[in-house]
Amino acid sequence: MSECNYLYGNYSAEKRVTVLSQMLDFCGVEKDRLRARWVSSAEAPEFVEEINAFIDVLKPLGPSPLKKQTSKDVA
Amino acid sequence: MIDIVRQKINELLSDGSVKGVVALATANGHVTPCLFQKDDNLNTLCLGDTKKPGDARYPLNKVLITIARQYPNDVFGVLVRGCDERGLYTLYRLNQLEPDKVVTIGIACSEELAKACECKKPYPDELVAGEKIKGITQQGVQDMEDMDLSKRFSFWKDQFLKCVKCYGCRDICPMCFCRECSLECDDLISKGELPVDIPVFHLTRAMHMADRCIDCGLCDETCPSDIPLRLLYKKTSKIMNAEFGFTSGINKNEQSPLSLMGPASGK
Repeated sequence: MSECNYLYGNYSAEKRVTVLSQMLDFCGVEKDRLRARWVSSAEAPEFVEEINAFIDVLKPLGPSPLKKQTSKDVA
Repeated sequence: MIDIVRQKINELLSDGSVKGVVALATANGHVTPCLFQKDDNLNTLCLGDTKKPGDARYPLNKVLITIARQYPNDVFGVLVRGCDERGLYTLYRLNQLEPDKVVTIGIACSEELAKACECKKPYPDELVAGEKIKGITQQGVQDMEDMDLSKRFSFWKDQFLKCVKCYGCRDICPMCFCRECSLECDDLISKGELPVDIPVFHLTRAMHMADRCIDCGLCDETCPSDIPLRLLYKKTSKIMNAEFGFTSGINKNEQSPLSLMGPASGK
């Protein structure tokens, strides 16, 4: 975390993601649908690995309850 | 209590320490913000809460900012309750007001008022009238957390669907002063379309309010669709407190952890 090219952006993002994931949970959206991971552009294999792991977590959760169709049906 | 306040305002105006005092007045049977100046009749002074707790409230800090911007070298007095003082501390921190150009006239809230707001600190540090009473436990947030995930989702979905994008919550918020608001940025939020992006619209506001909201409840009161906005922002406040030990406006010179460049302290 101390190696950010832009110095502190990653810390700012980390703090905000901490707050946001709990707010999503509070509003009834699964926390696991939000993921933050810091990779550099030189770490392609790590990125692929992370995305694949994320897909494995998302598939059992199913489609997002926020798909536009859902809300328009009720309105 | 009102007599003590009236006397204080009189003192400040008479000895010339302030150019005017931002407070509330009754006019034609209604309560309205008012700038009292020297030689004005102070009989119209009102402290709000006329028929039920929390009615006739205004963002006096916001009125003060408008006035201070036009008269940046003058000192003004302002009527503050606990929440207003938290608001002032936050506005000082965000460079919207100069602390040496503001004189507060602090009044404490009654237990009835504090309970209606579930206020954590229903009194300002500097008190002119009223008694400091204990803060109230945040039961509303706890009740919501105790509901299961799908119940929470249906609750908030139903609430957010009521939103008509009147921007009342943002317009009345004493902490909102951005010239370009993200909620009106076409690239981020689909402007003019209903229903709102759920939960993006309200969570965007909540995230922006995370280190600013001082729990005054004006957004809640203003919302024409009765969306429990305050509950959402009470939750962000709880998270900020738990994660960073930060409560907006409680300490006069405290910086927000979200604006500090670098890791959160203690991590």
